[in-house]
Amino acid sequence: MTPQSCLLAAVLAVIPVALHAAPPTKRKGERATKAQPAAAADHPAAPPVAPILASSPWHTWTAAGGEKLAAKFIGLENGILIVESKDKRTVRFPVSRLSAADQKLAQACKAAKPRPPMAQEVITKAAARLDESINVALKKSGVAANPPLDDEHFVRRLYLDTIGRIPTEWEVRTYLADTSSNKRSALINTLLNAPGYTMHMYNWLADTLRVKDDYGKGAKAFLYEDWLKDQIAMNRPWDVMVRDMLTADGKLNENGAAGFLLRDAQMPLDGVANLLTTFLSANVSCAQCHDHPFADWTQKDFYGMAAFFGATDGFHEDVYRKIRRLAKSADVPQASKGMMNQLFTANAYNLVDLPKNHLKFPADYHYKDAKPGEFVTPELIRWDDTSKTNPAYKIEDTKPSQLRNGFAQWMTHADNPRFAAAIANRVWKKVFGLAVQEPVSDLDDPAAASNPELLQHITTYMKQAQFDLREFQRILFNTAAYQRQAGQPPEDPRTWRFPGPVLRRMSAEQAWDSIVTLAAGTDADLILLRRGDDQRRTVVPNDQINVATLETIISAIKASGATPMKGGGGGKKGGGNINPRAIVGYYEGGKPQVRAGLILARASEMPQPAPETHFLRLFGQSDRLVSDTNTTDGSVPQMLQLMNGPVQDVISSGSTALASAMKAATPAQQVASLYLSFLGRQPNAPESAKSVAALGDGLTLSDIAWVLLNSREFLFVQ
Amino acid sequence: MKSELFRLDEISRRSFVERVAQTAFGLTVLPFLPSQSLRGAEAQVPAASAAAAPGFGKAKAVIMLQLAGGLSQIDSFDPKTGASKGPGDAVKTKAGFQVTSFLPETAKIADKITVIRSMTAKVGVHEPASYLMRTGFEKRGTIVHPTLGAWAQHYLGASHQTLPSSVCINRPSNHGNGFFPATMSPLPILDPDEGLKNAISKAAAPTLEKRLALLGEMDRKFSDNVKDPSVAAYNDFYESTLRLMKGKDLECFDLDKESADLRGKYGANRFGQGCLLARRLVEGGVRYVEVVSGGWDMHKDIQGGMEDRGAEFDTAFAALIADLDSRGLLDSTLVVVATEFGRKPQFDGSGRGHHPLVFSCVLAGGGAKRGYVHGASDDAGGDVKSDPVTVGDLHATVARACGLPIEKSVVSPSGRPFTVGNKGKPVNGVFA
Repeated sequence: MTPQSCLLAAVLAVIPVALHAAPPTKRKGERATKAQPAAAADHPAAPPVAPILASSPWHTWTAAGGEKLAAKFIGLENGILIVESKDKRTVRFPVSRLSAADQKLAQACKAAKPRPPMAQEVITKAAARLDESINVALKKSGVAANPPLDDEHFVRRLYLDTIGRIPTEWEVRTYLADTSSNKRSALINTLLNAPGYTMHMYNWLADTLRVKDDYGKGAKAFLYEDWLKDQIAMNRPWDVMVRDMLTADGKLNENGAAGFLLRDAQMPLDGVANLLTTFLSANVSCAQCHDHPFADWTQKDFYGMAAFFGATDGFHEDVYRKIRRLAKSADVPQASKGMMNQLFTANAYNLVDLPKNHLKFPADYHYKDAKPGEFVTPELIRWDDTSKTNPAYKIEDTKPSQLRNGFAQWMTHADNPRFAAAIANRVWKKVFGLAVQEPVSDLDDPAAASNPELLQHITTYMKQAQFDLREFQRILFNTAAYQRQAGQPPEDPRTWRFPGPVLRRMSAEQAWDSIVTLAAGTDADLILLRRGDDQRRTVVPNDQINVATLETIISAIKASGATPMKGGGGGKKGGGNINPRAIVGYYEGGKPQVRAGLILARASEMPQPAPETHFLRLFGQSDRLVSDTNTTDGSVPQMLQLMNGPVQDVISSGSTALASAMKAATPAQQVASLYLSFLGRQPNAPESAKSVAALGDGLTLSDIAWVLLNSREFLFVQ
Repeated sequence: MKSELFRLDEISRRSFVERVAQTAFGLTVLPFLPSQSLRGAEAQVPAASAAAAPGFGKAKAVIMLQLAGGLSQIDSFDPKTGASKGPGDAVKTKAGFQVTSFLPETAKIADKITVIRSMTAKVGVHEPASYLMRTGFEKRGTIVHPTLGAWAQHYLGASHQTLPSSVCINRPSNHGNGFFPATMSPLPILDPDEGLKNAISKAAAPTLEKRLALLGEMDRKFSDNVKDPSVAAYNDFYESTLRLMKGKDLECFDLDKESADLRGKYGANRFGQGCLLARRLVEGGVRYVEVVSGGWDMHKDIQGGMEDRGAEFDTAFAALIADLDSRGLLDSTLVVVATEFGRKPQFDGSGRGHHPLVFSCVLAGGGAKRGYVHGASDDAGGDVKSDPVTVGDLHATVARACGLPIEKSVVSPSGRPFTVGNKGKPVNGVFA
């Protein structure tokens, strides 16, 4: 695939059926009839289906370069047009590279779609309500609110918190030059709909959901990763997305949504503990083995919940053994041997529901309420007495084959006592740096939040936003509290009353993506890694796992121009550098630059997680084994990387930021350009004078760039 | 309290850095360091009474091998017969006790190690369990506890002038300093083959000096405006980094300095090479090295898992013990094999679930007995039969071997007292 020909013809990528086949319609009906006080009133009535394309859904889309594709409009989100071609393939394309007429058409199609964003008045009102709650808490505890943030710091922080990278010099200048009074809310709206929003949200979710390329024994989860990115890009509501994950059927290489449960298919009990912690902030890890020492969770409670997955089978050892035997047999040609596990193992990961719930209490169960070895009856946790009347608890179909569906319906219900609060609290932490209740993995006692009233409010707004995480964040970014100076995080996070966000070091992904932007400009925002396609070709019925099928798959993949089972990008064992040749064929929307051995693509568009010694891992990207383990600690290797490593090479020679500075007329203007690029602000008088003097004393602009990259200010989000 | 606790170490370290910076870069003083008067290091010396305790202070260094995921004790150091038996058979070691057939090399050096078969814990979930094993404390939401390396640095001071006192191999540093200053967190090496990358400045010394001067101006202003511990920690890491870049000791991180033959003996994989790097570092003066091996969560296919992960461990561990011993370093280096928890006695023909109630750990060197088994599990391998050892006890044991005052408490910045090993009882029986 070459950049020239990639448009429309080769950027084809199948996204999982689940995205189109809208599941649980029951829930949807409920939502339509349900009163949504503030939000619904202000929503314009949803118009009927896209009027522009009403006569026929098909349109021949034309790119600026002249390529054409007949396809129907699926969505336009974050600057990416998503269409479906006549052969049912989904194609993504940056809208900015369409013909002018089609750009307009895409915008019109989007405007005609239902689920418009919440009106600005609604957002403003909600933000004010949250501010009020914060101000009351501040007053009560005698803490003064932090001073308001100036525009320079605001623009840098907002870019980092919405699209996951620092703004370019041009973006900063444009914003600072804007004199309109609503420029902050306008920028919030722009950024929440920019391509980088998908990338930033994906990184955040990937840490929580433990997204990983490699599921072990050669099975890859590329399809799941593509699916997740599409969910975010299409701004699918959180409840719908989670329900799809919990009710998905099928193999790792055929249904992206199945990737979530299959992640823990070899250890289903841990899987249940993980999902309860992730989606309900239920601290159940202790209850897996014994009654929880503090919280109300008993071991029986845990097993009762786990039993909803007791009829579900994910990892099929018989299939795996068959593959392993075949891989060892002499029948497989030597050349294909290496690919055997990688091409077939995903078939052993297959979510199916059996007719019988097979979960039993463990052999060492020692409480009186059940016997070891006894079958477990599925039972939902009840946090309080209101569960009797709570509509979330009405599960109609309790056949073993329907257990997961019932559970998913209960869990993602707006009236579930924890679901909305859990995601609201998590997103709050993403925006403010600390959750209203810490840790985000434990909401068992919501009254223990640093501001219980605030927790209630954000829960309510999450429901009003109908689990639309983008709209919810729009509210948070519009609060006065967010737009204040950051403060030093307290020793005990529960004492933080939100006089402002807390000071944070950039996440590993923010730091990397900012460096990519400095080095290669904003093009990287449009370059997408999608590796699911080849995966679909490897779906094989169990009785056809044999040498002939293997050869057929390999030739099919080769015929399509790809290299079988590259895409992992691991390159040399453990190399911090990703082997560009292994991965570069999987990019859509353009090819990333490769300099100093680094692929200059955004963190979300790289192997998941990045190889151990990659910049991303050095700066704290999680290994994705345990939820929410990205870190922002410092270390010596980080410093070495910034001072002497390849990222320094891509910054100090040939970078966009440096090129921009060199164009400036005077040394002072050149220094100012670099300050704006790296720090999003003008240098003050002494800074400018010292830098200019240094330029006269043998240092070059590259050296000034070195200094800015190594400054504390660069790494921290103020 | 906070300042009392940390001040001495801060000042002595800073003044030291200044001296190093002078020799390294010809700088009079690192530009972003506040000037401090010179003071000698004043390590906190434990009470004399503790010195009489068994094993006290024998270990000058510790190599902690962490088998992440939960080593199956029955399939490794505590073989069973009957229903609990796994895919491997029991084999007799050089010391007389048994291990499984997955550990043939370990069997040959078993006369140099102590196996503890009566480890017990309550936590059967990965993350809290690995936290417990790394720190000796149960995980709480409001505080991060230090690793043994940080405790040792707190009590004994830095173990070397330019090298870090703690290194962790194959994992990130993850708050290893706990409530101690960030400079006590281990230096992470994520790939032992690559060692410490990018340690050489690409700019010539005069240019670097000018850059650092400019950087110092900027950072001083930022640190003055933004009073924050995480910013301060970054300042400290810059100092440590400049110290290391001085050059001479960097060779400790370079496995290419070892013979191909010896590298091969440790095994051509990340854990094996990590063990070799650990030995190099200990030899060079690093006090505490942790080496992580992943992939021990064998819910399925224990046989396959032990055939690859198990073999990697077996080769590397045996090579490490033999290598240390032949260099005369084993008596002063305590090697610990630790894990998250054990695995269930119920074998389903493929794998086993998590089982914290009883599991095995190993000690070697640093004053530990040679060819010894401490404690026992019951016949099925599901419970402790005699001499239970908690994770806190294990930490107290290692701490005592290192000569740390385990009775003494330290008050954390949040005002709470903590002791190394969390008041665990040292297992005196394991010391020779």
